[in-house]
Amino acid sequence: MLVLEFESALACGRFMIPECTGCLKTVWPPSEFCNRCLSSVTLQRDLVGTVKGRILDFSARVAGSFFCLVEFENAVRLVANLSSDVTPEPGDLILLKSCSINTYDDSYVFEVERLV
Amino acid sequence: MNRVAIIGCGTTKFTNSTCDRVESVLLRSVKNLFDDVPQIQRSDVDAVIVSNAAGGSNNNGRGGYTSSQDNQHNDGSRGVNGDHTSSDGNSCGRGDDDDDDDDDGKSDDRCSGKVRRGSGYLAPILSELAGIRPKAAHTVESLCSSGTNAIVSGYAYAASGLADVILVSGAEIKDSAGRILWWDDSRGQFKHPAFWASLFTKGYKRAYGATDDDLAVVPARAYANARSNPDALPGRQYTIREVAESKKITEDLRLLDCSRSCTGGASVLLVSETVSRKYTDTPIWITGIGQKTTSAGFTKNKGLSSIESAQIACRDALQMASSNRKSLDVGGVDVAEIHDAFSVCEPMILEALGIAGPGMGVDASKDLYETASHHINPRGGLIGSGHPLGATGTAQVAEVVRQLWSSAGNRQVDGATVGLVHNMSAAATSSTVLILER
Repeated sequence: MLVLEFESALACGRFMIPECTGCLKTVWPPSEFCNRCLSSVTLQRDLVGTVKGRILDFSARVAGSFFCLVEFENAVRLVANLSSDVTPEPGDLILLKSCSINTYDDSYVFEVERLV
Repeated sequence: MNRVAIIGCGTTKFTNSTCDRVESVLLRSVKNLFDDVPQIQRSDVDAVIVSNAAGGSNNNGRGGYTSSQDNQHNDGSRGVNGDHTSSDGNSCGRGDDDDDDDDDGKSDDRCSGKVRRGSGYLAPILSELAGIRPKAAHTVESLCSSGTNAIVSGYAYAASGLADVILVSGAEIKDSAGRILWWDDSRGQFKHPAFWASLFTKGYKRAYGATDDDLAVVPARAYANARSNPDALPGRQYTIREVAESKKITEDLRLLDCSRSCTGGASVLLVSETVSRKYTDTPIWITGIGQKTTSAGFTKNKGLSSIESAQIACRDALQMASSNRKSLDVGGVDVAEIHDAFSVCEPMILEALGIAGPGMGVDASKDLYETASHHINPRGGLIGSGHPLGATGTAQVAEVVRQLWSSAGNRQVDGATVGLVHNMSAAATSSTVLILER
C-alpha cells in the first residue's frame, strides 16, 4: 500500500520521502519495509522545492534538454529532466521543481531546476 | 561436487523477425544442437532449463509497447525522447538504416497489428516439442544475463548430482518485454537502456578523458568481426568515422554505439563428469563461476566510470578456477566474450576484468581494433552480431566452446585453451562470469 500512497502523492505533484519507522533511513525507491532493518516505512516530508540536491552527472537529448542523475540527502538518487539554456556541471545544486506520473506508461516524471 | 562440462552447442541465425514464436526459436537451436552431437539421445536429457528475458511473456508489461511496428532497439528508439510520445517508432532503429546492404536488416512487419499471446511454461513446452521428458524443466529470467544464469542453474544440477544431462536453451524475440526494466522508477521517464548508457558514457569520458572517436573503435571492430559470424544479424563494416558520425541518439550516444535487439536462439548441453566420457573426448569444462548483483536499480551503481558487478564476478570466477589447479589470472585467458551492449561497455568491462588498468580500457580497445583481434568478442559481440536478450549469454558460451574446440572457422583464436564469458544485466547491476577450459 505504501507504494500506492507514494504514487498517489506523486501524481498530485508531491514527492513524499519514504522513511523507515525503525532506523529512520530514507528508503528509496519506496517500499513497504526498510531494506536495512525491515521495519515499516512511512511517507514523511515533501521533497519538491524544499531540499537541495546535486547533479552527479548528466547527458542531453538531441532536442536539447538535459537528463541528469541527481542525488538528495545522500539517499535519494533519480534521473530527472532539466530544462536549461546553460550546460550543467556535476556538483551543481538543484531543487526538485516538479514531479508527476506519465499517464501513457506510468513512469515517474521528475523535473529539476539549477540553483544559481 | 561433480565437475561439469559442455559437450554440445546449437545456435540459430539472429534475425529482425518480430513474427517468430519464442518456442520455435528455442526448438530450432535445440535441433541444431542435436544435429551437431548425434551421439546424445534426447531421452538422456534429465533437465531442461530455458533462458528468456521476458520470462516467457510477450506482453510488454506496464506501459510497454505491444505493436510489432515498433522497431525498437537498445538505442532507445521512440522512447529516447523520454516522454514516449513520439509517433516515429522507427526513427532510431538499426533495421531502417539506409546503409544496410541487406534487406534482411529490415524488420519483419508481416504480423503488423497482431498482438501475440505470451506463453510462460517455456521449458516444459520446449521439452514436449523436442520429445524430451525431463525430471526438471523450468525457466530462468534475469534480463540480459538470463543465459549465463540458466547455465549456472544447469551447472548446479549436474554438480549436485540432481541431473547428469542438462539442456540449457536461450531464446528471445526482438520486441521482448525484457528490454526495459519497468520496475526501476528511480530512472524516472528515462527507462530505455540508451539513457543509462549515455550517462555511463559521459561519466567514463569525464573520468578518463576518453573521446567519441576513442569509443568508436568498438563498433568498428565489432562489425568487422561479425562478418565472420554466420549467425550474426545482417550488417556491413563501418569505419571509425562512420560510427562517430552516425545518427545521434543523445549527446553522448550514436546509433552505431548501440547493440541491436533481435530474434535468436542458442543452446548448450551440460553433463556431469560421471557421464561425460560416454559422450565425448573433448569436453569443455566449466571451471569457474562468479556472480554478483549489486542492486537492481541503475541509480544504485557506485559510479558511472566502472562496473563493480563485473569486477567482483570476475575475481570470484578466477578464484574458483584456481582452486583445483595452478593459479589462473586473467592473463591466462585466451579468448573472451564480453557484454558490449554499448560501445562504452567494452573498455569498462576490460577494466573490470583486469585486462586493462583503470582508465586504460580505451587503449586496450584501440589495440584490439588496430590488430583486428579476435581475442575479445570474436563473433562480433552484442553490437556486431545482435542482442537477443535471453539467448545472448548462451550464444556467448557457445562461441567460447567452439573456440576451445578450434571449430570457430575464420574467426578462430589459434591455440585457445582457456575462455571467459562475461554477461550482465540492467545497467550493469549484475554480472555473471564463467571460465571455460579445454
